[in-house]
Amino acid sequence: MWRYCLRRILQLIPIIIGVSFLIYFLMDIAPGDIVLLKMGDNNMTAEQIEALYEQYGLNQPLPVRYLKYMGRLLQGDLGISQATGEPVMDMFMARIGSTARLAIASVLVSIIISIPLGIISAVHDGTVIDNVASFGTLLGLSIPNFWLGLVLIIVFSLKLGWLPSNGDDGTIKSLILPAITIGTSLTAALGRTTRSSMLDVIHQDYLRTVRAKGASEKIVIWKHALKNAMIPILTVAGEQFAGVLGGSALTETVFAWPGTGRLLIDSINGRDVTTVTGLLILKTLIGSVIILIVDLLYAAVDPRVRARFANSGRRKKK
Amino acid sequence: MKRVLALVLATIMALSLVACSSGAADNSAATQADAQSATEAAKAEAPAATEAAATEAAVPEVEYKEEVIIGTDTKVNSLDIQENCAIASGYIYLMTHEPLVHYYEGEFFPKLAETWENKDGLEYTFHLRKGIKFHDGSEFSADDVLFTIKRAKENPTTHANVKAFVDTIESVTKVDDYTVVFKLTEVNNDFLIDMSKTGSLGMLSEEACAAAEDGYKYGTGPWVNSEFFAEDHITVVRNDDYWGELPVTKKVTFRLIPEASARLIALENHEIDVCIYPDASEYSLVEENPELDMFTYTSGLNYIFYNVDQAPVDDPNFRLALAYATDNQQIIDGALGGYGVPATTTNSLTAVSFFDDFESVGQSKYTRDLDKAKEYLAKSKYPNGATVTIQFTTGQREIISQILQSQWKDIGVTVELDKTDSAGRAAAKQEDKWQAYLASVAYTDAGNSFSETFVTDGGTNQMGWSNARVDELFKQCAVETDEAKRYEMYKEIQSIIHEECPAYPMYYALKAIAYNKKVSGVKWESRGVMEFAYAKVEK
Amino acid sequence: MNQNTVSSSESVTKKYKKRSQFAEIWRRFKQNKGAMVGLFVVFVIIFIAVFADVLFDYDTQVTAMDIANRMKEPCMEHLFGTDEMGRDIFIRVLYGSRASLSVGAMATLIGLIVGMTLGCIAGYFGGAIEDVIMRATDICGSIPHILMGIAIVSALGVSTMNLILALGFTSISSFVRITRAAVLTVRNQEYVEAGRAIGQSEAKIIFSHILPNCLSPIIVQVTLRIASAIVAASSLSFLGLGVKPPSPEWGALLSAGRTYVRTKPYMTLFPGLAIMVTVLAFNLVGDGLRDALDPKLRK
Repeated sequence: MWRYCLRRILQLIPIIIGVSFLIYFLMDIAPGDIVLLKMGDNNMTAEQIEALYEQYGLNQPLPVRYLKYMGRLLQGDLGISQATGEPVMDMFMARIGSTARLAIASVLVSIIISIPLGIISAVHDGTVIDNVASFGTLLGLSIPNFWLGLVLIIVFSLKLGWLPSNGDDGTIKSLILPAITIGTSLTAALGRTTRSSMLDVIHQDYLRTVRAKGASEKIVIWKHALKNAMIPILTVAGEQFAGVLGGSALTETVFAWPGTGRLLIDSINGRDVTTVTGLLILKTLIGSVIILIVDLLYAAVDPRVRARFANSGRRKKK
Repeated sequence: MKRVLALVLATIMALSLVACSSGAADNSAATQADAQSATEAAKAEAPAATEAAATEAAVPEVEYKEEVIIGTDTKVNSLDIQENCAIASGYIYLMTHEPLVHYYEGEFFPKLAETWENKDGLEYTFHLRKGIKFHDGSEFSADDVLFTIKRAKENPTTHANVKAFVDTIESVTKVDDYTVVFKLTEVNNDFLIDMSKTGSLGMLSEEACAAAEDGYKYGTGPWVNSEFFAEDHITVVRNDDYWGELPVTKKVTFRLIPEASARLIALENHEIDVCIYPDASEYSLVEENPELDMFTYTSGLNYIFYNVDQAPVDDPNFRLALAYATDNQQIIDGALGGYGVPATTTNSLTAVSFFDDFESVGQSKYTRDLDKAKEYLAKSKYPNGATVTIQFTTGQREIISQILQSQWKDIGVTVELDKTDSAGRAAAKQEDKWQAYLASVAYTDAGNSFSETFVTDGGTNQMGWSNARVDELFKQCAVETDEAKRYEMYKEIQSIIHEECPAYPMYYALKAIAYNKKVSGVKWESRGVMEFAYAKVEK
Repeated sequence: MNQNTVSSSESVTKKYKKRSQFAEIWRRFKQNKGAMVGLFVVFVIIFIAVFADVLFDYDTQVTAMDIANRMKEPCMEHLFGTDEMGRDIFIRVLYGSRASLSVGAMATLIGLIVGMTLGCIAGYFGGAIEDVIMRATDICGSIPHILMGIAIVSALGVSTMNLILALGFTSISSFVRITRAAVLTVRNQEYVEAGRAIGQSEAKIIFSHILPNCLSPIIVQVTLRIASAIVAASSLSFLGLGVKPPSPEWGALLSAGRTYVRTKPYMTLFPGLAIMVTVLAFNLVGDGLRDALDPKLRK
């Protein structure tokens, strides 16, 4: 088990190297750079421009800059933002709280909607009810996020005055609208997983035994079946959590949410290579660790999976 | 129980008093909002708003909130006041930093300098206020003035406009700790206005800047920089040691809410107190809301800049053909919902040097006239039309580009749209790979700041345009003291620009700042440089 | 379980097997009412997209402005109203199906071609090649798609082609994973062994034996991807990184109308509904196909 964890963590190393190179490369071919942006309309002399490039370490070729960056990264230093002069790590830490809270709330919304719908759909497999429930889980996915966000703001903040329209004041109230906006787009995958994994379980022999013992259908489904169908559901929820942690930039913009997503978009626009690369490395790391934890929980719950961990060379995610 | 009732009654009475006074403010604002002529509205409104503030302040026993929250649309990238000249950053700099002299609606007031005198327009002596401390505790003296100018001259990231101004200062000498003498390279009639710009020449502490890299964030103003969270909020807190009048409010937060609709909703929902730049399409919502008010003013001049080194816009006749194919009113209607004033010349609408009577000098105004446009096109190097790529960065300009695309099609000019971001624009400019670019320039002083757009290598001269006669005339204008002679020269400048059309003036946007009627104390300003230092919100 | 179905139908001749399998899938698909509705809608949208230029003239009806008629509320003359430049939103939404579908389809095609090729190579050959491909896939897959899209379009510049490239690139990793997993399940089947035994070339084995037998999860993925690419395109439009105007792509219409979301809600309503209906339809078809292709889910 520990060997397995270690292997998974070691596998992260090439991923991080790859991610950082890809981003470094992309930001390098992007038109403009931080010096040109800082320059704005100024008519600088060649020496002044040269000095600025040197100040930002941009006067060297891409491979040299990248290797230097990686050298620092090995020592655990994510570097200093070129735009603000703050350490990237500090900027990340200042914003991750808001993003994490939003991610947790979003996945909760997704779970609250999709698990009941998925179960209903599985129980009434093939009927109109199944179709309606599946349709329900799909709805959120098909509405562009920013539009849904704006409409929610208009209805719940402006017309009804129930909830704040933007920002993170640390209360649950300010979380609700952005969490619904993101959460509803996640229900499709989670509902689908719930449905199929419930279908898997529902017709198995042990449930027949439970039924034969006279348990009501409600108990059969919600207690016995759901418990056994939970593993894939939790896996998907875990992956979704990791996903929202990484990429809720749009919703953060609409709700003026002070999270990492907005910082990232701004950094891309500001050609702040260090911040963009640092943020994406952190997001990749956190995402992978969360998925690892989910997998480990999975193993803790299910002896079959544990056995597979112990002797399989590589595990494939499907 | 009785006491509670009495309290409630008292509160109701107090509230109704407040309501009456703000009702009066409402009337004046409503008529202004209706006024079609934007300049007049802007001019009339400023005193009205201050008057309203005065009457409100007179109402006894009004309690104010501890915090004022202002929703903005523009990210402020840095607290370095010399790096940024944008109006959005100016809001904050005006609160934290102070210049030597203060300029408000045509008049000068002492700030960090108590008095000043001017000898032959080339030498200014400032007598500084004593006993003023920067936020970091260091004392303000003549050395700091010297340092501030020196830093602006030497720092490579100093904004072009600031740089252009400080370069006209030959030397600053310290007579004693509280007296400095500025010597200018040439007479500059706008010297004091330039000196009053907080964005550029708020005083910095030499000591603080030496001690810390971000020492520039310490000023002498009534507000101290507290939190800087560029893409979310910037907070300033009251400087309790301030030398002048202390603000009532304890904390002012500028919250960045990028979506215009969301920003206005936040104001209507009482989450913010002031909403900078609601979208023009939603002005009507502000007007309909009895709780809200709006301050409107005409802002920067929106141009089509042409890269005069690039075919096909290198040919003045071709540019003129485009000019006569363009209909400004259509642009204003389509992209701004009618909230704009068509531009007729390349100068600020409120400037004394404004001139657009081109018929009087044998020219004709730019109006959509397809025959004339085709005439110019036939005279140009590209008589069969050509393809022009328009570069732009914002959604509104995306619409303008589409309107231009449609208008210019009528004379056989094809338009390609090139949407980019500011970094992409910076790169295109650096590599000289662009043809036309949509941008606005805010001329925040009355005199010659539009010179920066048209002199060779001027700060906002994006076009690479250069005209020896115009350079010469601008030079003379700066030293000429006879108003009439100056105006003649400005006339000639604008007429030359009109003939060459390196930059086509489209419109002045009618900008607005919406606010809750409970807000008072804001110094509204017709150039858009609002001062929020004494803003307060009734509880 | 998957393998069981494949091997059981194997003894039958190839042609016959294909037809019966298809008929069986179609029979199961037909039982799913939602999927049938979805399929119908998809066909209608494709029909509109294909014949959009016959129905409307791009220059005079779709992109020509008419400032005098701007912001007209929906009426008989303009069913969905007009936009800020006076263009008819009904016509633009219908014509937009062409832009939106082609963005979705082209992006998916890129992801499909590159992803399937790499996935096939990885799954079939295994070893070091597989390791390299799968690590690269992990790298691309671990960056949130929308952020990757933003980064790519910012880097390459705003244009419809770059938007398609970005969306295509981000979908590669899922196609690689799915193809590889499917190939792994069939690569050691007897008929593949047989092909090798009689000396068929690797290319022939891959194309005639392996790929046809792992198409089903790929087809499902294609339908779902087209849908998500359409939504992703609208997200990038919101950030100003979408298609070039004046193309009436739905995401661009929705994003352009958002400043009027309160004063002229119809400007966002119709493009929004168009996206919603299309994405729903594709998802219903995808889900239906998934169920129909995966007998495990049926009793």
